[in-house]
Amino acid sequence: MNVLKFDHVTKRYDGRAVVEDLSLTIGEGELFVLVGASGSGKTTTLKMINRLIEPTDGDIYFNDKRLIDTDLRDLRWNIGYVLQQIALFPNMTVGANIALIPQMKHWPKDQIKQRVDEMLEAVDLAPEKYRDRMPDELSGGEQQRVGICRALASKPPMVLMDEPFSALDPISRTSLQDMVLRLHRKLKTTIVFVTHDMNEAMKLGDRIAVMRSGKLLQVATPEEIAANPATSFVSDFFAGAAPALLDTPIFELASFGTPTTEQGSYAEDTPLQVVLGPLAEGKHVTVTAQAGNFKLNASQVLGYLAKAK
Amino acid sequence: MQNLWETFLTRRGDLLAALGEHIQLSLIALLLALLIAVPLGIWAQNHPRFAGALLQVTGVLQTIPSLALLGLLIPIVGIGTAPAIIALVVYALLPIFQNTYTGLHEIDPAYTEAADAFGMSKPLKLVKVQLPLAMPVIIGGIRTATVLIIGTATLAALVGGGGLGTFILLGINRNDTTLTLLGAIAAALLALVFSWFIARLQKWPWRVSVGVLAALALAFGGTAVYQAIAPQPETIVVAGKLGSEPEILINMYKQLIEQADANVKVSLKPNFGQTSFLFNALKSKKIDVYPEFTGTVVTSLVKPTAKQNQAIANGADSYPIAEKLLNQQQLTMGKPMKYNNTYAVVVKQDFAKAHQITKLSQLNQFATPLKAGFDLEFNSRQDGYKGIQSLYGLTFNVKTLDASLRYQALDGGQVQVTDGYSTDSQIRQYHLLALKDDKQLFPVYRGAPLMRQDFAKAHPQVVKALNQLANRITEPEMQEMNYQVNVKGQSAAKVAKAYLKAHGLLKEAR
Repeated sequence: MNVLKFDHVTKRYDGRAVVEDLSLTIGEGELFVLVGASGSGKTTTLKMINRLIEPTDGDIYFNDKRLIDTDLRDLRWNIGYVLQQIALFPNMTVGANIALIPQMKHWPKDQIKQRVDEMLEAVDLAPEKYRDRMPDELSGGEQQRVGICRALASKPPMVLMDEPFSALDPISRTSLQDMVLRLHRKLKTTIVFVTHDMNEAMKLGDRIAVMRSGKLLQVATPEEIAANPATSFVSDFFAGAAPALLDTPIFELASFGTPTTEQGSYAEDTPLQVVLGPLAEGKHVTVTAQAGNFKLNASQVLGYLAKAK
Repeated sequence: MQNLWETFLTRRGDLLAALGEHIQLSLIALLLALLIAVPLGIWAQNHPRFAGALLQVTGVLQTIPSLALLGLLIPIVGIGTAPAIIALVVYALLPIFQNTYTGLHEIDPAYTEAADAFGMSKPLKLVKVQLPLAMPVIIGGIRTATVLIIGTATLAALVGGGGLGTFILLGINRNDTTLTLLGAIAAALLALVFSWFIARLQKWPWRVSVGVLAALALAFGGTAVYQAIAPQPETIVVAGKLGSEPEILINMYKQLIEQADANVKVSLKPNFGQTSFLFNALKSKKIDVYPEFTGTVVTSLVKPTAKQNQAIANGADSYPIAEKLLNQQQLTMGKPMKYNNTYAVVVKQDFAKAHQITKLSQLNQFATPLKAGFDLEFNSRQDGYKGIQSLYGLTFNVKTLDASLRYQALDGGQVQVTDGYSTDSQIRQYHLLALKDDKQLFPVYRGAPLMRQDFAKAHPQVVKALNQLANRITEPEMQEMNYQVNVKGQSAAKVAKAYLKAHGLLKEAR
């Protein structure tokens, strides 16, 4: 059964498509990972699910009902949300943060209290120790555990996670990934998980959707993607960080280039790979950048790649 | 220091009353400013285009000098607490609005995104997330506004709004630094206490803070409203200019009026302001009676003809002329008292006795010019030193001194002659003598109660009671009473009562 369906969804900002003609379905109980470099449209796609962002074209269906026909509050109460910035409310205790949505749903008090403790235990935080602490007394990893508790507390059928572990240190990240897998196996909640880290996607995803420049390149299980990458980009994305490197916006290379007063022929957010062609022909490229225009030649780009590795 | 403590002890009742007025004024202004600026700051979040404009407007309002603002408000809302509160609210708007707006504006967008994603309604998001997160910044703005309000509220005294400013003004007027200090210290302490209290407010839970604020609003707003609407017996408002002499006089007025008619209540507004301010207050019916000088009337309040001016200069009584011209403005003056509070040339009593001098013209006996200390204005006035030179043919070795220093200079022997007013308490204090103006150079300033004609018609018993003072009180008597209040620290009411009793104007039975 499909819980979520994107039907030819497009999102444009000032005429520029960030997500273009996206169609996909997510099944009940799935842990679905959207993966891609920055600017690929994955976060926009995620935020269209709980209508933090509204699509320009196309429809999204949640349990076969169009999102725009669903009461916004009901929709959001049924879709948990975990942020990259964690964003536990600093004026509330850990317990109050977790109790937020059950309270809005007018659960009985003792049931809320019980649920808070239950959730804290589920993420390996001792309730009596953590319940009454303030968020700023917790480490980043602990805070995001609480963030997950908050999203799951009212037992929503679906949870959205927007790069939830990208700001954490590698050790916390690994243990939180394991925890998400464990919780998912136990609760069978549908999870849509956004990441730019292919390793994380491969580890967590039941299925993975690879996005690039607002377009869906491939949707498949990790095994299928590994065996049959749909495009060379997908296979490169797998091979390691190289494709991500080629997606680097060109202004990152400013310090390797030569400053110039000439009008640039490329915008500063052009992905690196776009200029590889002209460079291969032995030409300079000129870039218009806010910090000052600059020129790049092939050896300067190689210098950047050698440093960036 | 010792002096300050003594002044505090003798005046602590007045100080407490002024403090109460000051707190009430400040709190009402603060609460009104909060009620306007906080919702405006919240509203501006969703209307960023207006936010800039509002910041500009509140900023410009704050640059209006406070005195000018009060002056501009008087024709619109009259005098008293209303213009003071409006001015204070105007000044408090900027810091509160600015901090509410920036406090809310600078919240990390992740928090508002989270609140949205959790399906919080806008009001709930505001109360549970945005306001608590912005609270430290908002409270900062409120503290700034509070300190500003309490400081500026001292100016309320200028427009009859009362408060600690009355002490400061009175101190300046009487050249009594202890009074000024007392008012200033009390205002500063009040600002500190309030600032501290508001900082504490922040540490309490949200609901407690709101509760405390609401209770304060209710307590002070409630009393203000009650005072405004509660039925009261007929009250006659008697005001006086700055200084001890008007205060003594209005206390006599009160005692005489209340003796004559048991059904009226007299409300006193001592140290109410300067001449033009009282005159306008009288015309606009904010006050009913105040003591004024005939000389002041003809020089500042009405426009005599050239002929009348000539007559006055030739020594004619200015009272009938003043009364005639006042009647054209639907005003009337009661009968004047005896003493003439005009310029006087003052010498030490020892000096006068040694040279057998009682009259100004007798100063011509000295071969070498006497050393004189005159204030700048007297020195340059035709009815001052210039007239002394031309009319009396006297020349002094003049040093111009600040008015406040003249008597000390005379007492210390640095000068032998100085100018003053004929009822100054210093004449009694330093054992001085005001020389008789035997060639009538100085204009005649006789005190009398000034009121509106309609008031006088409606209250004949009041006019009659006040006219009991006609031709009473001599210059030495007034000097003595001023001395009792200014130097001995007696209350004006007590000094007034003692005089009335001693002269049989007040019945003992009271």
